Amino acid sequence: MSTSSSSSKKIVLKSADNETFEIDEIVALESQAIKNMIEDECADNVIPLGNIDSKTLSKIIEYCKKHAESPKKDDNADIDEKAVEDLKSFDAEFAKVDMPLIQDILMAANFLNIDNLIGLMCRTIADRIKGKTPEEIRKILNINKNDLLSPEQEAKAREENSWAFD
Amino acid sequence: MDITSGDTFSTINKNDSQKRAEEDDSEIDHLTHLPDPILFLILSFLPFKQWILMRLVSKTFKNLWTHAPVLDFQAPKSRFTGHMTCHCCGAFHGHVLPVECYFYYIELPRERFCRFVSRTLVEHSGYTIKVFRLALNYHHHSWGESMLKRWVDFMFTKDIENLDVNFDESNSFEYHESTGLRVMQVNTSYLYFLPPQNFISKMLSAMSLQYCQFSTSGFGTFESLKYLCLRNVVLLDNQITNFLSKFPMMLSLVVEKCVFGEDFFVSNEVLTIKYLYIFDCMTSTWLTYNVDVITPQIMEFHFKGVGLQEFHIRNANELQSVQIDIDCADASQEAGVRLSSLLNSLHHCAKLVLSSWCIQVLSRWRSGSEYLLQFHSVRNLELILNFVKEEFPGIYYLLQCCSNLKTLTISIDMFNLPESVIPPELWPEIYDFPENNFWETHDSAVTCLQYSVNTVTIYGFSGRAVEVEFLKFLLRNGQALEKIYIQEFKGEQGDSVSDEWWVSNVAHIYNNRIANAVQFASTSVQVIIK
Repeated sequence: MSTSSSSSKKIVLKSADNETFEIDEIVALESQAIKNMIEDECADNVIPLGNIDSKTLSKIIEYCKKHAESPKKDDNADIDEKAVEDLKSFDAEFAKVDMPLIQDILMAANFLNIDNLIGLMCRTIADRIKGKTPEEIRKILNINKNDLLSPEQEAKAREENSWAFD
Repeated sequence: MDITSGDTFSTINKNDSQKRAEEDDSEIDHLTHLPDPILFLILSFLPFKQWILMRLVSKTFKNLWTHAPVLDFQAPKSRFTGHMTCHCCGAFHGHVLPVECYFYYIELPRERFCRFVSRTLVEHSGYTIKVFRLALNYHHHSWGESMLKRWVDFMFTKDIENLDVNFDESNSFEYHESTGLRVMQVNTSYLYFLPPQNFISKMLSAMSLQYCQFSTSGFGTFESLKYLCLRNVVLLDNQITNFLSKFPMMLSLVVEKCVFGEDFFVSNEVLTIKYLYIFDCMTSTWLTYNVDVITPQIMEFHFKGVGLQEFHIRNANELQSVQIDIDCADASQEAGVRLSSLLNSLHHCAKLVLSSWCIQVLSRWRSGSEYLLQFHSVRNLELILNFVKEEFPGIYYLLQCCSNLKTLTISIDMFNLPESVIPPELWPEIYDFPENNFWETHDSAVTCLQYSVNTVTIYGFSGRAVEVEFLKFLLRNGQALEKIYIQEFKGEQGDSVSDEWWVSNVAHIYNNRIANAVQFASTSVQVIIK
């Protein structure tokens, strides 16, 4: 799968499952990590991303493309409100995916250091667990059973927190 | 709960990284692998109470707690609302709770809250806390002085950047009025007395305190504090100089509804503060006090109060923004002279905002019609007024004073402002004109209208004849005018009270232009209705 457009400089990303993605450099620069690699000239023609699968990576590229195209806030104090609204609704649509993919995207965004995307995914997770009980939250987040509190620990924590939830 | 069931929640990608391969067979959630800052970012979008709940969700979230960058302790409010069936004894209670139930509704949650706060503070790792908030109602309960002292010690000595403490969120200062004099009676006995603290953290950058009393004399130096906001605080220091000596880095001071000595803000030493906001403060017996400070670095000064005593802001050569909002009954010559002298000392400012009282008093008591305040630096002038006859001479006078004005903003607030400060029977000669033709008779060379004013904004325009007359006045005289923005008056429900006739009124002026009935001074002016 490749994404091509104008004659600008291209960057090739390779996912964990060996799929390659050719993208404009400007899109890749949304990632602070890739930007640093390019600036330090330690990026080869192909940047391997051994811990990001192709499904996650294509989502991330979709996000970066949209955000790279949109005018940046600091460019101009009064960029038109329509562009801001457009980006907002894009973000809202983008976040309508299942929790495993959100977590994958968050992991990858953290690795690639894409601040806006990290924020978007964190807010999405927060929105989904807001107002839920601990049991519901464990299910939503698919908490590892090794990470669960022992019944005694949980009872103690419940007692300690009781003032807030009685 | 069986969390291993349900493949829909599975996040495992079989071809995934080494890291995951190292894990045992159980299902893996990615959250545990995320660095703490990311987990805190997720939590930051949730109310703090849910943060507390997250401690039950997993070990990862429970352990996060000890280095939480935000601590937000709000004492629980009673769930007893009166006239309800008691959750405790099952009986129906009116207003008064029996002792046993009082314990259930009030004391028990509060005790648990105290234990929770105390334990959290003890267990906290000492990582930097970005925001520490505490709100309780000190005077309704006995909180235990030694416990509060421990909390306050934590606040001041740990690495906290922003501190926001309210000791009595459900309270307000009590005052009563006696025969025509608004006399404040501040009962300080129930206010929490902030215990002295010698060592102050060097991380503390902003602090907000509400409902307490303190003297800085027992405190060490707040070496890094830049922003201080005090609301409903009794300041026991005698002098701003002593007070500020404990805050050598302070940029900004807000005092709102605070109580201090009559001469607290009087000092002949240079103060290095940049932003000073004094709102509705008082002494222990009176609502006005003296202000006389030397502040060569001050950039913003806002004052809101019910009167002026001695008032000087000296050497204010760096001023950018000044707002004076006074609402009082005293329109005496003395008040006028004080206001003129205050404004004179603020003449370096670039932005000036004045309330209706200032506008009325200024025009009445300027010393002779030739004398003008020298507001040559003022580029933005905002007048918050009722737009009534008594204000017109003041508006005109201010336009004459601000010779380099660029933008003029008129905020008409017909409901929330005091009426005339001078009873009509005592109106001076300068009010001796018919309201509707004041502006018509003042077509004369006003420097700023001729050369510099390019933008006028009128908020709360309701199409009254005087407003339309003023608009015409601007159009006839504003040679440099480019844009006039008009925002219509909105009623309380946001509905437009003034229906459409004012719009047609404005349109009418436009049509007049075509008919040459109103001679526009500027060829490029646009009237824009928001």
